[in-house]
Amino acid sequence: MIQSILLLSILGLILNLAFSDSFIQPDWSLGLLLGALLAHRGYWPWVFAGSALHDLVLHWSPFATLPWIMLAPLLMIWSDVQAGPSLVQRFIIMILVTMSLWLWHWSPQAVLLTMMFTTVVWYFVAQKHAQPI
Amino acid sequence: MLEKHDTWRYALILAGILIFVYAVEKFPIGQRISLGLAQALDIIQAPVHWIDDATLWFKERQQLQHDLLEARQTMAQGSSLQQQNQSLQEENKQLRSLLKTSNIQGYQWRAARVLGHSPEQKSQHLILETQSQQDDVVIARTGLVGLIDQSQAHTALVRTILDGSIAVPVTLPHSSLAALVRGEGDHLSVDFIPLNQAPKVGDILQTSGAGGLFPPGISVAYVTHIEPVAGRIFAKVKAVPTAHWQREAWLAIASRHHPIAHVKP
Repeated sequence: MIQSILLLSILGLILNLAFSDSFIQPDWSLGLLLGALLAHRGYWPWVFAGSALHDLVLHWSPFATLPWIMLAPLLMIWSDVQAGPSLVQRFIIMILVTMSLWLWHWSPQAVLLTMMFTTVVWYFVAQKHAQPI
Repeated sequence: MLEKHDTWRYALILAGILIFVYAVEKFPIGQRISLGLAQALDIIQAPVHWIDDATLWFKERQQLQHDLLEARQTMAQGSSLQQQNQSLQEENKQLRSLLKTSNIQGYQWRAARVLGHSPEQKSQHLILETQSQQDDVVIARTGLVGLIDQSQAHTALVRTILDGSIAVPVTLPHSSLAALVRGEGDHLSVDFIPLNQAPKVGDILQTSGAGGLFPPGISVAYVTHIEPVAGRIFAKVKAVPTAHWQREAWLAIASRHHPIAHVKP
C-alpha cells in the first residue's frame, strides 16, 4: 500500500512541476503522504522520506513541509492521550500541515485543493486498513 | 522509562536527520533530483504538445497565412535590429580600444524551452531544456528572470530573482542611483536606496551591469511601495518583477563570451 502511495507521490511531483503554469492543482505528493499518515500512523518512516523528497524537489530545501509532517505523528499521539482518539484533532493536524504550503507562497486555492485531496486519500487509505467485523 | 534499544533507535533516527540536513545544506541534492526528473517532465508534457500540434490542422487557412505574415514581419524587424546591434557593437569595440578599456563582457544569446516551473504562486525555480553553464543569465520578453543554477547535458535549472539567494545590482535610467534588488519569495525588496534619490511608485529599475554578472539595461522590477524608515538613510522599497515567467514557454539565455573571474575572499 505505502509503496504505491510513494510511487504516486513521485508522479504527483512531476505533475506539479510540469503543469503548474497551466492550471491550479493541489500538492498531489503532500496530499497522498499526509492522507496516508493520518489514516495509519505506522507509515511515518515512509512518509518522512517521501516528504523530504517532496521538499527537496519542489523547494530545494528540507524545511518546507518536513518539519510539520514530523510533528504530525507526535501531535497525534499526544492529542489521542489527552482527548481520546478522534477525527477532530486529525483534521486540525491536516490543516496545520497543509497551511505550511501557504508560508512557502503557494496560492490559497492550491492549499484548499490540497486539503480536499488529503481528505479523500485519508478516507481511502483508512478504508483499506479498516478490519471487517 | 525508555528501553535501551529504544534509546539507540531514537539516537539513530536523530543522527540520520542531522546527516540528511547537513548533506542537503552542503550539496545541491534537490537541484540534482529536479534535473533527473526533467526527462519525465518532457514525457508527461508530450501529449499536450501533440494536442497543440494537432489543433493546427483545424485552424483556418486565412488565420495561418496571417500568422505567417506576422512572423515574417517580426523576423524582418529582428534582422534589422540585429544589423543595428552589430554596427553598434563594432562602434563600441572601437571606442573601447580608443579608451583602452578592457574586461568588458560580451554575451551570446539563444532561446530555451521551459520544461517545468516550481509550483509556488510566482515560481521561484524553473527547469529549461537547454545546454547551458552555471550563472548564465535568463531573460523573458518583459525583463530579467534569473540565473542558471545547475545544468546537465540538455537541461538546466534556473534560480529566479524571487529566490532570496540572488542580488541584482540595479539603477534607474538616466540617474546615478545604485541599489540591489533581492528576492523575498513573492516580491522583491530594493536595498540601499537613499531617501533623496528614491524612485517613484511605478518606476522601472534596470540592471546596472555592475559586477559583470548581468548585462546592463535589462528591466528588473516595478517599484510598488516606498516607505521612509525613521532614523535611517535608506528607504524601505518593495518591488515586483517586470518579467512574467510563469506563463512563458520560451526564455532567452545570455552566456558570457568570457567567464567571470571569481575573486577569492
